[in-house]
Amino acid sequence: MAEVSLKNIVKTYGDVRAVDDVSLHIHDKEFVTLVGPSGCGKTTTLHMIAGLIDLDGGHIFIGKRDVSELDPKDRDIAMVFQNYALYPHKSVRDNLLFPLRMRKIDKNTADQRINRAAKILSIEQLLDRKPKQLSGGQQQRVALGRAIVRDPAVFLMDEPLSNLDAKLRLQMRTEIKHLQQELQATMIYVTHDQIEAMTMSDRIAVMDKGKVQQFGTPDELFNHPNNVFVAGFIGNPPMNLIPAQIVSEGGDKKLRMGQITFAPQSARVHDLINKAVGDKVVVGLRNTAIHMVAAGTPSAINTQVYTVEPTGDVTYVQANIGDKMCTISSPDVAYRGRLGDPITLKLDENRLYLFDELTGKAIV
Amino acid sequence: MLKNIWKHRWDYPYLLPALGVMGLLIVYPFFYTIFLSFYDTPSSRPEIFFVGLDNYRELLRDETFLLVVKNTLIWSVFGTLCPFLVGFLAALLVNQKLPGLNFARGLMIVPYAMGFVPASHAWRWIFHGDFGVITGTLQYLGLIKDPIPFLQSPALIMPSLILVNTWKSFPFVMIMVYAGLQTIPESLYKAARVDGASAWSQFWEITVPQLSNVLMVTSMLMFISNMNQFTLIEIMTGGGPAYLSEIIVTWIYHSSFQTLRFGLASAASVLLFLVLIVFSIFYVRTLTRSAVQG
Amino acid sequence: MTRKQRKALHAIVVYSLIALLCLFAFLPMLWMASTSFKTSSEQFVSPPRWIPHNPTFEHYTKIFFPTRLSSGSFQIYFFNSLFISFMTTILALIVALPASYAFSRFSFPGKDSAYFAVLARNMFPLIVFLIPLFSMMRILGWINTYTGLIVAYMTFTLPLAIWLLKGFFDGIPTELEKAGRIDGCSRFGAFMRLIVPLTASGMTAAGVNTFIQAWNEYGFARQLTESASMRTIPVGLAYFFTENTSDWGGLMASAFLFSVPVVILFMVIQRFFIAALTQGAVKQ
Repeated sequence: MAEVSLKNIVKTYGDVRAVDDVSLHIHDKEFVTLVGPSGCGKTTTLHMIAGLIDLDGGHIFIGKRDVSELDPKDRDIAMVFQNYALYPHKSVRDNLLFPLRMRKIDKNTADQRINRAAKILSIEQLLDRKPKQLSGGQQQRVALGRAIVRDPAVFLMDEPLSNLDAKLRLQMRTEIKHLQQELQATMIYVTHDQIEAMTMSDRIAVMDKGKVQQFGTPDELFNHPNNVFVAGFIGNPPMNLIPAQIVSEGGDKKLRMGQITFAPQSARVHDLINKAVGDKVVVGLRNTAIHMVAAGTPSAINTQVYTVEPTGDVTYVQANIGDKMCTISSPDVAYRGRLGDPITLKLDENRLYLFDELTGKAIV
Repeated sequence: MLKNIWKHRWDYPYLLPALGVMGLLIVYPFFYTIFLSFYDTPSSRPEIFFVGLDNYRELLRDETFLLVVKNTLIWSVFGTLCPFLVGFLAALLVNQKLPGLNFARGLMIVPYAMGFVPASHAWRWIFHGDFGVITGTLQYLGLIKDPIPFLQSPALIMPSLILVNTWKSFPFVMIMVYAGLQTIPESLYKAARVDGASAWSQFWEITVPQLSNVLMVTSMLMFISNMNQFTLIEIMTGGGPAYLSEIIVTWIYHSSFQTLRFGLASAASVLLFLVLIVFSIFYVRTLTRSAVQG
Repeated sequence: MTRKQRKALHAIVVYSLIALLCLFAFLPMLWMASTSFKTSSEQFVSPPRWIPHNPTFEHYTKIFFPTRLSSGSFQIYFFNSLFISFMTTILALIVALPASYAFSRFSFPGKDSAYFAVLARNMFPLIVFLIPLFSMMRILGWINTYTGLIVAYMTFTLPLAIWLLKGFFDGIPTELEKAGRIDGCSRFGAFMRLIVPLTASGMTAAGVNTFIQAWNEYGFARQLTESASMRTIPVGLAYFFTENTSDWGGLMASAFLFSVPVVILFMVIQRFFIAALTQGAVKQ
């Protein structure tokens, strides 16, 4: 196992900088996820680590070695692909054997490794089948097996769960995380699903437009987003982001969101407002940081129900704050308001984030 | 069964014109050929005479016909193999990720797009014994002294015809193999590269097995169309000299319309049918078996 | 070697081999074109000249403006080829259209064997069909007529047209007819009004392919025509040569003129044609 360092790596396609000066340091035995919307550069970055895409700039280190110019086969990495990329004409056993055979590993060692991998993944009884005869989940296991037999320095995972149905995905999520800990492997995992990233990773790199927006633990990303993008991307439902303008009324700075003017009560929010550069900001509030309160509560916001979405253990209420549709967790799971029902909302000022509208950066 | 036909009675009018034409032009000739193969058709008289299997006996004893069968085999096997190798190479080349290769692919299709008739005339001129461009160029370079009689020499006639067929048919193989290459998921190659496979291993471990179906179908189609190739050989050599380039179809044509032995020619046609039917069954089997296996 | 150098080497190898193949593919055509612009004496000079020293249009002038319009002139052949190919195309499409639709959509008894018969035609050499067709045409009095050739050409054009068009129908979702039926069309009405207009590209591809097939045909045309005035170009080319002794320039000029439209047509439809050609073999 080994640590992995990306130093200012760049990939351009024509005028597009698909990967724009990305630097990451991934510790030994760490599970790191690259997450972001499609086209953010996460898969390109992973393929650059694998050596499948050439670098246009920067360096990649695996362990102490600069591998930037090496072929994939010389980088001591294994990779699991989105569509598994199992060799269709080879049996499961031959699929597992292939990377060993290509490295001229002797037959006995190879058999041992295959049997061990098959046991870890409980695919022993599938070894003589062809990939077409396997279910999606089984194919996924074989793909993992082909990576495990190699005993590589780093595992690279390219959206390995995205072809599975929802239930299987949850199960494999647990298994991959368990596997990583059991093998004490360094794992770099790419996904567009932030929940996958949050649940599996030691650290997450959120990417957008070819750049790393923030690199940190799941808790850091959730509780201290660097910018509007990370705030809106991490968390389910996503953070409510309400455009606002800082106005002065009677010497007091307030936040105007649409027709609503919100007067902050806490010193913390006043402090944030004072730090703002311009007067255009974005107010960020998680669904749990907006509370439904009794009508007439002071410094609360009056609005109406748009829809109510019960999910079983939580009930979400959609309602406008200013001009922005927001999602709020109802304190009462049984709440079933109808369209237009009046509700009163109180903002949790301890958990209110403020972002600069122009740069998107968090104001702290 | 009848009930089922009755239920679908309104389906058949759609087919009626096609079935009529096909019956008249394909089914009837097919059976008429079988019928005629049992008859002697003397050119001097209008009647025909039942002779049983005599035509078949004569064929199998006729040394010329056996030579023709041998020629057909050589022509079909090498006329398939050579374009196949060249076309395969061309497909692999145009499948590389480099600019301008689509354009090259378009250019290389030209021989296939051209008709057999003008192509055969052009090659007849290229191969011309005295003034052909190949002979002329080689003489100019001082590599040979005497003209090369491509289409007259017993040793050169088949290789020359096979060269023309390679030129004419390699684009077909290229098109088929290229289409097959497009269906191989890129990720298989990526996985193989990560797994440590060299370009050579990738070719044998991924490309060839993944293409097995296409390669099978393409070579089969090529083989059948070569067996049936009339125009190229008729125009370039007319089967000559001395039957050295005569293949079964040209022999059938010459026996029926030049020596007017329709019965004998029909018997040869029936034998050819049988061979082709065996091939077709084999071909359909391959297709359906690979379809089942996926 | 670094990755960059290896890539460059790879590109050099690929491009050189491609260049060789392109030359192989193109030189015969170029030699044909070159000869067609040479005077009778320059055709035979040694060493051979790729670029004529005294280029001449005499062969083309002879083709386009013959001193007298004889029954054996290129114009007559050209008209015959054009007319026969065109009529063959129309007839094949009219007959193939409903049949291929039926093969694509319906499930009547006997469908599989009928379709197999259509496809099996391609397995057999045309020449074998010529013996019975010849005697049939003689009985019908269609030897040496346009009708005879056009009908005979159905032997090979119809199966191909059915096969190509069926492929196109297979690609049109059946929901379309279902919606049409719900909206009040009859079954035939749904076919004519909803489906046929959608097959314009399919018809074009099948039509152009049929046209090319008929245009290039040699064996039938040679045997089913007798007089010079009925010959098509492929047959006429051979006579061109014997009529004008050793006139390779004239032969190459007419062969070149004959090929160019077909090659262009083929290039235009190759996308459709290649899709149809490869779908059966490639589909997994």
